[in-house]
Amino acid sequence: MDGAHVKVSKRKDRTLVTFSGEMTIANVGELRERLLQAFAAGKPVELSVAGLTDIDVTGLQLLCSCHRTSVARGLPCTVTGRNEALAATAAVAGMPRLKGCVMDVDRTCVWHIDTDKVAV
Amino acid sequence: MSDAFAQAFKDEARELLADLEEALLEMEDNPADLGLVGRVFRTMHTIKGSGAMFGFDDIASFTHNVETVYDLVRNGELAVSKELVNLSLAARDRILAMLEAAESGAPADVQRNEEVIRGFRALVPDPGEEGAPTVAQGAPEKVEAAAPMVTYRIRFRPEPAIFNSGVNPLSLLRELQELGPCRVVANTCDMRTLDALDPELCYLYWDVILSTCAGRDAIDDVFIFVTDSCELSVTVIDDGSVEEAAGGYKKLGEILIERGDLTPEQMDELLGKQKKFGELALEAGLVNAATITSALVEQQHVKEMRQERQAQTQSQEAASSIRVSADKLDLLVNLVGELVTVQARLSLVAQELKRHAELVSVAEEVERLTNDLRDNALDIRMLPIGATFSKFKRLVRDLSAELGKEIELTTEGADTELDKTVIEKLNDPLVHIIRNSIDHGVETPEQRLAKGKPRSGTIHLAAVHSGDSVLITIRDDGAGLNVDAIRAKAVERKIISAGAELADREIWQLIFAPGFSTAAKVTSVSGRGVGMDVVKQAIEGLRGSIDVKSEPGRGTCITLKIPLTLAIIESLLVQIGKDRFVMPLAMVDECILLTEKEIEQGHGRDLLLVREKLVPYIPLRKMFRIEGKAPPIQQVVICQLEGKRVGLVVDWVIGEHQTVIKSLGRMYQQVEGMSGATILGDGSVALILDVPTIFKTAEGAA
Repeated sequence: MDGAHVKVSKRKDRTLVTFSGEMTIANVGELRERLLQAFAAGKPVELSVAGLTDIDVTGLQLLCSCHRTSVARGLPCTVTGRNEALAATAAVAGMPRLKGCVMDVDRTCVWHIDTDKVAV
Repeated sequence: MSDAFAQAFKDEARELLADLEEALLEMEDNPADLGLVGRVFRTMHTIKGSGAMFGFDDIASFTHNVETVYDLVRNGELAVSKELVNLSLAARDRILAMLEAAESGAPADVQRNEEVIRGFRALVPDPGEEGAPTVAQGAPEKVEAAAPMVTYRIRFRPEPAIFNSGVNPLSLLRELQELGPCRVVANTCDMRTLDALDPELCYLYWDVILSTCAGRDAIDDVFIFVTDSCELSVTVIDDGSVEEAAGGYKKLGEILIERGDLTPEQMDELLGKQKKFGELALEAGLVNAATITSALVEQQHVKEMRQERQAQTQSQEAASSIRVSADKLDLLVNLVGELVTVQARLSLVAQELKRHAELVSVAEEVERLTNDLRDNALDIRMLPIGATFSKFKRLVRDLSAELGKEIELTTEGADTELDKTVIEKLNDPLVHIIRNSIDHGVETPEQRLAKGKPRSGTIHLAAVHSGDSVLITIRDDGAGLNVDAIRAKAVERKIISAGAELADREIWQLIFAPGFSTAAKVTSVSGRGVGMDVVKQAIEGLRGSIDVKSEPGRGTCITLKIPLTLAIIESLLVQIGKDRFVMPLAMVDECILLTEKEIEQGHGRDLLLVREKLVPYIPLRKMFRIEGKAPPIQQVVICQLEGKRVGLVVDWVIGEHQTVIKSLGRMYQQVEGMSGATILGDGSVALILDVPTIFKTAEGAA
């Protein structure tokens, strides 16, 4: 694993985090650092996941944690990009749900099942 | 191996093959429907399994090859194609042939079998890997033991450092999901924000609701390498028994308590407030949303499993009916018939001895029971006509392909029930009619397009109840009957005279004349002139009637009116002189008086003015040459036949009667005007009037 593939680009209205390659136990540590940086910018965070090729439980946890962080800091955090691999793994792990967690007061949970979206 | 088992297998296999045929034809129309593929696969699998069990090894190994191909289809590795359906239908016919060969002891046509199998193998993309699935495959596996599907609740809470030992919880979950219908809910309540997160620890835990036949051991096997590094609890929440399926599933609160997420005391307290329990528990902060979600998922999962099981049980119950040979049923119906007769006699006796109130009440009781018994006994013989309909699907498919036509068969009212005997006797006439529609009615695609009609034709087969009859309609959107051609042919065959003026309706009826065919050439399908007259005979043999309607260029519609049952009918009992007769009540319109004066007014013509309309009547006394003089006031029973009203003159109308039909026996088969006999309450015999024939005879004489 030659380091995580992640690009944090600061836009006017938001911070865009673009992932590519894997999001697994091998690189979640590094990804966490980058995500913390992204949140530190104090702007809404957009996580673009379309480029992810593989994800494991730690990756799923990381995404979930991003959401928690966003709620805790009052910074909107959205997940964009359709990714079948991610959707499939999340389904196996039982992540998708109809109602978010206790933190999810504004219904921004990344695992929220939208009726018009297939998954995630 | 006892013959009885072999016979049971053959019966079952025949049913399965019929079902298979239906599924295959449906699959041809909806190739993307994986449910149908599954149905085909399961049917093949059952035939294979039970075939092997009962020593039909040839069937088992043959079917195994087909099943192998369907396994690929089921897994999406092979698409459903016309070719596949054709082959499968051929395979189905081979299995049937093998069954029949086993019955007659003749060797099956191995060559044909191999042809079919070769066809299947050609379909398989990579036959090399398949390892030539042949007889050498050994004994096919046993039919799956019907272990009940048990539903487990599995809470899997790995210790935080589980990732360090290289365990991937995802693969464990995947393994579980392979065991059966499974719902997984990850519980995220321990999740941290990024600052507090150690990304290499596990914060999630899972609630898994799994329904599986594999048993507890299979679940334990999944977790065998992680038992030391996780908290695992496996609970049976539904043991697959049918009894439990009846009720719904536990309430949310019960689930939470069972899981230890909530104490009973807490729940009681909450229940004091009247709100949705989940919301209450949430608001109170006793449990978190994920816990509730997870519990709700369990609730839904078990509910669904139980519903499915209940549906299955119901269908199993339907299938677990006893097989009774038709002879026994016939005997039962005969006995009930006798009983109805005796009961009529009992009622009569009771009527005469009115003083004995006790006897009257017993007679009434017996009458009520007999009626129930009769209805039930007749009901047992009732079968839905759908099985016959689905046979025709194949007929239409094969014949239209042979003739290069595109015809679709649509059906309606397949669940309409008819007496078993009636259904059996209906088969041939329907085959004739449908063959005719395919051959003469529906045009070739080119002709149809030229006429501005859709390329493929439709034959619609419908059955519907109408009073004590069933109407069966066969409608095609073909060319319609060619009135001129029928006329010319009828003149040529001297059925009608050249100058005869006939209404279209009468001309249509000519197609039922013996030996009548307008087809220019004899095809393998029809044109030999045997057919429609056979149809008419068969339908009349069932005491039914047949009606034709046709519109040139638009199609033909043939309607068969068939009585529900052949055994017992409601009828009207009448008397002429000392003799009594019955006629089917369904035909009777009304009864009116006929005085001598009215006869005189007719001036020798048998016509009667009924509400300003002339109704012809037939004096039965004269027709049957019954001795004696008619009473001064006779009665006319006006019957409805083919849209006309005709009266039958009798001395007295006695009343309604439950008529148990007895055939007249061979000696009297030639007697016209009688369709059978029945035994009356006093033990005497009454003849059943064959009203249509009487009309025809009278018409001919006039």
